[in-house]
Order: sequence, then C-alpha cells, then structure tokens
Amino acid sequence: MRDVVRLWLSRLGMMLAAGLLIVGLAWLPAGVVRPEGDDLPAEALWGVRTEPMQRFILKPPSVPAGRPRAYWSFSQYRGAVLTYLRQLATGQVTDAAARALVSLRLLSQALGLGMAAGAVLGLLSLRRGVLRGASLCVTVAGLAVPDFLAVVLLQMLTIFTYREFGVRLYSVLGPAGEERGWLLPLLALSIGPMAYTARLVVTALDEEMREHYIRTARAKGLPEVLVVAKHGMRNAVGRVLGGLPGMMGIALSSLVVIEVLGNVNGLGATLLWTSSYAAVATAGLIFCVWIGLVDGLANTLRIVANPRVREGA
Amino acid sequence: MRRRIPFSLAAALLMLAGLAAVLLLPWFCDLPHPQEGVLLQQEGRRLAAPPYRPGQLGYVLGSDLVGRDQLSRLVYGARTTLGLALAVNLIRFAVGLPAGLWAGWRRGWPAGAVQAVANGFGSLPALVLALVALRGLSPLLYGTAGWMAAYVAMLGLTGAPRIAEQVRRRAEEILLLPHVEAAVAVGARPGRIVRRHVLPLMRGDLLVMAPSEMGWVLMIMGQLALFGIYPGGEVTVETVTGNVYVVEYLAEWGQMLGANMRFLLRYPWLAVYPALALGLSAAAFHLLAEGLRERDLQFK
Repeated sequence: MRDVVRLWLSRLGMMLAAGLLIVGLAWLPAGVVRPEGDDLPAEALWGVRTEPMQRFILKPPSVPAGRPRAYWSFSQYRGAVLTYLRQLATGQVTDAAARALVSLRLLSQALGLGMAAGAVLGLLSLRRGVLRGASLCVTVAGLAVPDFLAVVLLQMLTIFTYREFGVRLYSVLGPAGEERGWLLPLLALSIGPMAYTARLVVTALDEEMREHYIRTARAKGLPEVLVVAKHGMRNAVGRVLGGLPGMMGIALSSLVVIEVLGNVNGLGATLLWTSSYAAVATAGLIFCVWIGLVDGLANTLRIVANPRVREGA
Repeated sequence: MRRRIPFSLAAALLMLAGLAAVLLLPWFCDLPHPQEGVLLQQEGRRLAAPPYRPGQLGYVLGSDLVGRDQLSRLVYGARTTLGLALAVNLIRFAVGLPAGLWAGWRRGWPAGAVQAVANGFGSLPALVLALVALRGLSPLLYGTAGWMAAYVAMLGLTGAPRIAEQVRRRAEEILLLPHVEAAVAVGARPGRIVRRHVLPLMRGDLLVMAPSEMGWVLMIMGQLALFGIYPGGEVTVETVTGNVYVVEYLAEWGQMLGANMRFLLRYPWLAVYPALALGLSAAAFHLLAEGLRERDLQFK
C-alpha cells in the first residue's frame, strides 16, 4: 500500500513538471516578434521559366545569405505564458472538454481492440513455425505501415467498393447529419497498439519461457497451456504493463493524424489545425494527464501483480 | 551447437541489402537527373503532358507533375531520406545516451527529472511538437539550410528524452549487478565503471534500440510531410505561355509523399511509391531490431 501511495505521489509530481514543460514548449512561438511590414514566408522558394517542350533542370539560384527577418522576445513569451496560466487557474480554458471526450472515446476503443488483438498475436508467436512467422509478419506490418497510409488506403477501399459494388463500408454522416463514421478511424488507430502490444508480449514471453522454473514446470508434466498461463504470463505481465505508457505516446501521435484524415472532430484535429497556442497547450495538458494516469495505473498493477517490484522500478 | 539466424534477421538483412543497392544504384546505372523535367512531349502523333503514367514514354514508375522521372527521384531520394533519418537518430542518441547514463548513475532528482522530461515530451506527440515549433519558429529561420537544420534538430530533440529514459532504466538495473557494486567498492571512477561495466552490458539493448528508432523516425518524417512540413520546400515552374506549376523541390520520400497526397485518387503513383518506400524501409529497420533481439536471446 505504501509503495502504491509513493508511486502516485511521484507520478503527480512528474505530471506537474511535465505539464509546465508542455506549456513552456507550446507557447514558444508566442515569443516571435516580426518587424513591421514583414510578410510571412512565401509558399515557393524560387522558380524557373521554361519552354514547354524543352528539358530543364531545377537548380536553386545562388542567393546570398541574409539575416532572419524576425527575432524572439523573452518578455513577450513570459507575458503570454503567465496570462495562459492565470486563465487556466481561474477555469477560463474550458472549450476543449467536448472534443477531449470524442478523442477519449475513440482512443479507448482503439486501445482496447488493439491490445486484445495484440495479446492474441503475441501468444500465437509462442508456437513455432508458420504461426510464429505469420504473427511476426502482422506485427512488423503493423509497426511499419504508416497510419496515414492505412487511413488513406481504407478510404480508397471504401470509395472503390461503393463505386463498383454499391457497398458502403463507412458512413461519414448519419441520417441526422451528426453521426460520424467511426469504424474506419477505429480500425486505423488500433493497428499501432495491436502491433506494439504484440511486440511487448513476444519480448516478455520469449525471455520468461527460458527461465528455470518454466523448465521445472514442464518437467513436472504440467500442460503447456497452464505453463504459459500460470508461470509465463504471470511473470511477463509486469514487463508488458511497463511498456503501456510508451504505447500510449505512439497512439496519441497516430490519433492526431487519424482524426484529421478521418474527419473526427476531436482534440487531435484541433491540435493540428489550430493557430492558437492556448489550444495546443490545453490539448497537451489533457494528453499529459491521460499518459500520467495510464502510467500510474500500469505501475500500480505491476506492484499488485508482483509485490517485489518497487515504485519507479 | 550451430545457431540458426532468426527469420526476422535474415529478412531484415535481405531488405537492407536491397536498400543498400538502391543507395548505390546511381553509381552503376545511368539514371536521369532527379530534377530534370519536361512539360510537353511527343507521343506518337500527339502531344502528351505530365504526369506520365508508369510505363508511359519510358518512365518506369511514371513522372511527377513537371515530368521529372519518379524512379530517379525515388533512388536519389533514398540518400536524402535515410541521411536525414540517420542525422535525427544520431542527435537522439548523442543527447539521450549520456543523459540517461548520468541519471541512472546519480539516481535521485536527476532520474526524476529525466522521467518528467520524457513524460512531458511523450504527452505532446512528437508530430505535434515538431509541427507547432517548426511552423511557429519559421520566421526565425532563413533559407533552406536553416530550415533543414531546424527540422533535424527538432525531430532529434523530441525523441531524445525517450531514449534517455530507456537508457536510465537499463543503467539502473545494470548498476545493481554484483560486479558493478564490486567496482564501486574498490573505488573505480564513474567514467571507468560506465565504460567498462555498464556500456558493454547495454550494447545489446542499444543495438536493438537504434534500428527501431530509425523506423520510428522515418514514420514521423512521413507524418510531418503529410501536414506540409518537409525539409526541401516548393518551387515554381513557369512556361512561357504563362502556366505555373508548384512542385516539391527536394527528392525526399516524405516530401514526395506529402506534396502529392492531394493527387492520390487521380495520379496514385505520385504518392503511393514514396509511401511504399518509407513503409518498407521502416519495416526493414523494425525487422532488424526484432532479429537482433532474437539473436541476443539465443546467446542468453
């Protein structure tokens, strides 16, 4: 019990420090001062003019190096950060709550689905031969297929099936005009956690299944299922739980991309398209609390599962 | 007993050999210049304008909007993309490894600080952090070189705390081992203990972490490119008749993907091939990490 209390106290302290860091980073561009009359950087760097049928080679012009047109002011930055912190303390920053709920729902469903599928994949890798190979292929593909590509390919598949066969795999807007398609973003978002969980389970089980007590259990004639369930998994679960916060970070990164591409009105999409530093800082703080809670919960479960594990270990 | 090479390691080595061949291809093969384009060509009795389909007019993988050869750009792009990813990875390890070792050695507040920084950076997805910082700080950066340096530095710094945290955890475990305690007891200096006793035991973990990190870096480069953040910028090509094309300049996979994403349904080869190149390279590095881990297990 004492270890759990110490764990949560240390996690609270860390969340506070991490929160301050997030606010500091998110407001960094607020210190940029542009001199009067300075335009934003142009879209194109330079250009060439050519005859249509004549081959050309794009080469940058030799432009002499110049001075940056803007500078960074600490006093302006400090003022912006302090104003935001004051607003946060007085509860004036509240507009992110509804979007946070949308994101939380999508994220929790994807994590649940991905982790369940990942655990199954991880257990399949215990078998030698084709099953292990297939499990490895799915895991590596899950880690390597970029999330944006997964969403876009699924969208292309939806368009193709609707055009060719009249089958609609994914609905963007429901009859009332409010309901948004959820299956496609959910599937795309769960690929990463699935692959990550499978990898965590495989890594942990591979090492546990070589321990002496596993050999002893097998020598005593215990069925393989029980050896895995009672001895292997019980000891591997701590290491799997230890990897959850890392997985959460990767899932949050994917959430941003998938919300934008899947047209989900959540926190991630706001984070990307907004030009407000306050919105970015608030979203970062909400993400920080989620990661902190998952980290604390994962470590609490580790301590409960194995009392020899101390806080922070 | 003779040890088998794990399947994942063999597959990774095969894929990396392919990647190496792509890197070396320009020395053995006469490829068109990656920036050489043309806006109108004779095809039989008619004039054809780019983008050319794969196989059309001798373009094996097609061409982009201004007639630049896609195959050549992908081959030359491997050097830029992997070079940038390597630079990002080097920054991550150059910052994260010493910080993690120091925190693991000192414990106490340095360990807590590394954990807090890792949590902080982990809470704001690296994609968003890099995006906000690069967009916001862009007025301070001058020219392509400044932009590219900021791009590499930002991607490097967003991942360094996570490396530091992983190294700290492993260092704390190793520092509890009896032979390290013995070295401390006989009065060995911290630098010597880390060099002679900690780093050799950590070598296997670092060998797994490095390729895995390379895979993540490639992925985040693709994600950033999708939202218009890439190192090379865009250029305009204007014909004498007044048509203006805005295209990406640098032959870099992320940039080729991000800049052409809007043409995915009309000209899929423009974005799909760079995405495949990124995905396959990331897969090769993840497989290498997995293979090295399995190989490491065989020796335990």
